[in-house]
Amino acid sequence: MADEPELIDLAFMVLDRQLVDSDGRRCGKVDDLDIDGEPGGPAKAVALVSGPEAWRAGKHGPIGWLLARVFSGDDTARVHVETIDSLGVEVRLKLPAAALGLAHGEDRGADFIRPIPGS
Amino acid sequence: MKKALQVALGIMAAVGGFIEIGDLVFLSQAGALFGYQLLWAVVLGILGIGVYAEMCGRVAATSGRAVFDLVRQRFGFATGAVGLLAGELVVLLTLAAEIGGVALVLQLLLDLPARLLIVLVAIAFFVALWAMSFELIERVFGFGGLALLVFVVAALNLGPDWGSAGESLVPSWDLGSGAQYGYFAVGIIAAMFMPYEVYFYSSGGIEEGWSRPDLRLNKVTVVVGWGLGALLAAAIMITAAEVFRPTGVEPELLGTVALGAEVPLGGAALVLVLIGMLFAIGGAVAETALAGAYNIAQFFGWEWGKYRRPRGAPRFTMAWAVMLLLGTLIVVTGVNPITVTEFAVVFSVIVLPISYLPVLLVANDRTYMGDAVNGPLANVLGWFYLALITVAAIAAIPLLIATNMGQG
Amino acid sequence: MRLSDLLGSEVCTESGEKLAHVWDVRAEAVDGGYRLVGLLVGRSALFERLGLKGWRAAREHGEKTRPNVDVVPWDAVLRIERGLIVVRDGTEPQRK
Repeated sequence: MADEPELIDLAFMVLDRQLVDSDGRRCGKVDDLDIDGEPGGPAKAVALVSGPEAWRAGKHGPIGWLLARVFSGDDTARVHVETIDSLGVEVRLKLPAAALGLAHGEDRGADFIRPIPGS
Repeated sequence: MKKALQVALGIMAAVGGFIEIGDLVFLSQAGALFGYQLLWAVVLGILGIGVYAEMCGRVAATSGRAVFDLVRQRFGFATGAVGLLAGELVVLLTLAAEIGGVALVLQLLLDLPARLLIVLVAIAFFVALWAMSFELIERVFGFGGLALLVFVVAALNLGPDWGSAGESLVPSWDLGSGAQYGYFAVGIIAAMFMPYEVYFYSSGGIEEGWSRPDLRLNKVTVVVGWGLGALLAAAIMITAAEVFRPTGVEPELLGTVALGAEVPLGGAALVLVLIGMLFAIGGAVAETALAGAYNIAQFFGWEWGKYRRPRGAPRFTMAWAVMLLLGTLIVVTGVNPITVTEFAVVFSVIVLPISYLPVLLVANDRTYMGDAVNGPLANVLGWFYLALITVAAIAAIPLLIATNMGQG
Repeated sequence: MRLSDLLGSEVCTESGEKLAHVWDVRAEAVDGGYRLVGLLVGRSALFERLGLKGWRAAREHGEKTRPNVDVVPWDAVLRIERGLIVVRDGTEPQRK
């Protein structure tokens, strides 16, 4: 029996979903998807994009542009689709956030908070 | 037994939602102006928000997703961001008012300058939210607010006209009462639907580590929490109807509201009411500060939750701290907290449909919920109330203008 | 190109006939990624994505795709021109 192709609607299942790394840590959202190929030929979505650069794209509206400026200090990471462990309510990844360039802004925030007693 | 105490989450969410400073005065005014006639608004409102709170809890338990996550997921970034800004504005205004409200109650108890009290309140809440676990927060404010049950005792003591009260449970609109009646009806229902209640409740469920086996706990928590909230709302309205309406007094101050319990029961009741107000309004401070942080973190995908410890969720922590700071700055200017909440409620009415529609859609989506999707009853009620709050959203601004903010 | 370039864009034929707006992209899991197979189209990108129309079907469906949608096959797409997705003449959305 031939395998049924596994179909998936990308905006429904992947876009704007929570990214969770291999340690169970929340590390951003899927802000966009990188697609290899051009219209008129075969095309393949190969990577997730997460970070303020992605919000600049026109479809994110004027607020997207504004937020991209506010958070311009944050990195924008490109995570290859093969790093995805599972796609469900969240997008679970096979590696820790740091290895993928995700959640750097949070690490800086943690450094800021650490000196306060009880953190 | 420990699990049973989690009903405190529901109590805190509900009481902090519609027994906060604005509502304490608003419900009292409704009783003073219209007697029992608006009791139906409390009943109608509680059924609707109960249905949605249960849905939010169920979604949180089965999919681990809190409400604001879903707003971005269904609407996309651009529309979701507009929803975020609008939601944060409402939450911030409410937070500012509640900080002012706690200071007001303390003034009644301590007689210190208002501005000093506001700053002290802000510092106290910063320490409390930093140091207390989520469980402790929900229990202290949830159960502490139940001191307001003295209003129920007061209401019974006043020997209300039960027949009249019963009749008022059915929605009625005396056309003679005009726009002011409509303003209060919309205001009462809108206050019960304040979105930060479900933002807080669904995030709270995830803070508590809810999963599928907790679906029943979710239902119990909603019934007990929002049920007690409705009971308090009705009691406040009834005591005001009995104490103020005959004399034509229109409560505008928190102290006047408290008299609703003191007149029938005496000085000890007054102290209990003030303590209850401290915890109910304080609960609203905690609830709105945390809800504001939950929303931002859930929109951007940051780590969040009190259960993570401050440095485990640094941006989330900074978010609620900044909200507390901004709220304090707003109210320390001397603005009247009660007026601020009225604005917040009216503004939130307009964004109500955007806040609740994603919940209803996700609760019906088998990809998220598995077999815990909505049954037919939840859907009938869910769609009915969505239509109701959409009508309210459309009616809000005209009513506000026609009544000059409820002045009649 | 990015997924956001496709979402919300209007689809029209070479001869200028306007078809619909793209609100999602259907793909097939393959080695190294997801191969685009079709564009989900409808009258309003926002409302379709919201899932208002198909909410009842979603109660039963539970897969990684949406039920009862109109799809324009990816191989009908010729090019993207100034925010418009141009497809071959005669392309019709298929109900999937």
